[in-house]
Amino acid sequence: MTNHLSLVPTMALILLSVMPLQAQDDWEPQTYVSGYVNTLAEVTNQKDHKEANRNIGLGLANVGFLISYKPRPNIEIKGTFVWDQQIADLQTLVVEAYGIYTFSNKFKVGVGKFLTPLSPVNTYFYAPLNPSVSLPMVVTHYLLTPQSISGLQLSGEFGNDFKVNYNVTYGNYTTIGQIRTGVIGLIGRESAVQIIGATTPNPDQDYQLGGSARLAFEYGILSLGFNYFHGTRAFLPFSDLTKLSIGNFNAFSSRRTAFGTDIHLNLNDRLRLNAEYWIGKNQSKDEDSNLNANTQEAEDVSLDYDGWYAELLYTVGKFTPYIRYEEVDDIRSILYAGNPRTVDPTMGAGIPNPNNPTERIPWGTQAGEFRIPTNALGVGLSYRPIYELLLKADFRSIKNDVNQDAIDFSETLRKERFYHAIISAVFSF
Amino acid sequence: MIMLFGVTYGQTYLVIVNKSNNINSISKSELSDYFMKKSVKFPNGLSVLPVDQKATSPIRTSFTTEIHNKSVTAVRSFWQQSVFQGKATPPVEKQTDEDIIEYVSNNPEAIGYVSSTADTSTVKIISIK
Repeated sequence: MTNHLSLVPTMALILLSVMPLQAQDDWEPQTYVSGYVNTLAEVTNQKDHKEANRNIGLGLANVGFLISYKPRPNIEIKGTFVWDQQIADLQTLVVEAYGIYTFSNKFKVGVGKFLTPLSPVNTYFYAPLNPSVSLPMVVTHYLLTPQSISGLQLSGEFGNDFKVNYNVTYGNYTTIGQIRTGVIGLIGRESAVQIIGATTPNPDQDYQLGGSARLAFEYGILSLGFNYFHGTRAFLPFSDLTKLSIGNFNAFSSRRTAFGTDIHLNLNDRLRLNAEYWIGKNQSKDEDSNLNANTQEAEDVSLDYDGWYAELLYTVGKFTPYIRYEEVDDIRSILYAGNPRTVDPTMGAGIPNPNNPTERIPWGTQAGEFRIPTNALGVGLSYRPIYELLLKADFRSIKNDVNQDAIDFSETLRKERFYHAIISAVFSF
Repeated sequence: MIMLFGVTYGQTYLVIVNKSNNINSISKSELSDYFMKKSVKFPNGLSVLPVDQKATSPIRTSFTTEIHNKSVTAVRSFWQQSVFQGKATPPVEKQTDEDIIEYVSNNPEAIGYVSSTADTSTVKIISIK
């Protein structure tokens, strides 16, 4: 059942009909066009990739196109489109498409589809804007917030030396998930359906209602932001401990909430410090789809997530070296003794507790949590000799730290530290 | 530096505004803020409408280096970031001095810069403090 926000076009028409149409006979409509082509060369020593002969790759990674049109001084119509190798449908290609009316610098109203404006990190989505090839994992895991929200946006800025920015966006988003992209599948992008290879119980791509809010303060070299997201539908993964393997996950219907704070220091566009910290909660809902076969009661479960990063960049002429450290703990799943929806409670006393084999975990009950906390240290360098060409090189050391609650069921997810090196050439116009 | 009819000798460009604009001089920092859209109003309350030279213009290179203390590449990168971020759009760009002079003379809020040899009889030259 679809849940499109059909009010959006209606509201757009209402806004256009009541807006004061200023006499701007001297105004010349302005058009701005930009775009880029991003090609990568990647190498990794991660064992899974080596065994699959996918540890080296070279190819086109993504292509972006932006057009902005200002028919009047206080109206802008903008669209951004990004293609990459994992593009599955047209709605994913359209990253942003909106019209915005500026009543004043303090109050702007926009309708359409927006890149979720929760922090400047989301703007690193576009290859020419990002001094590093890789984005922080709190962004690329796409498990805390969606990439885009379609609907209504209110935004503005107050103050001169001390500025206060606000942005509230509400509308529909696609269910949050991640799919791997890049030329060897080590870079994440948003997917409407897949969650770390899982098959969801209802693989629909309907829009769900949700919204974001951001409040930011800027003074001199410092800016500080506070962010909030709430989504009415997400997927809370669970898995059968007796059949734990890559791809063998299921999910409860849930709602998602996330809070984040970001801080940025900018010293004359030379020395820059960026840092963010996010926490999120995935809370089950919808009794029908979450029913436990044993108890015939809805599962009331939740998972908490968190992630943070800090990076330092220094621009010297046309070169910008950087260093970044980050940690995320957002790949989680609730473990059960058997599938709680279908398990036959008469099968026996349950399964042995992996942490204490003398104990039994009854069928259909929780058996702990599966987690893959990940940390990474990255260093890199970008060089932009001319506007049209940006060269970047990254080297990251990444550690998957699978927790001990799960049996070491997969060679590919054992605790290991591996490296990922990338070179990128971004042509802009 | 020798000041001659509001032109600083050695400067290859002239800053121009519409004849109806009552400002006579401007500082480098104010001029930079107008073209980077950090300031949107003149001291007289009039809105600012900056107009830039095309990216490959040597006049733009001189102006960008002296007024913004940046390269043209750096400024273009700044505008690319601003547009993708949805923060602001860059100033209008015109291909020739004549196009800029026509734009400024037709727009009371406009401010631009042209070669020091351009015919500026239809606009007003202001000095850089």
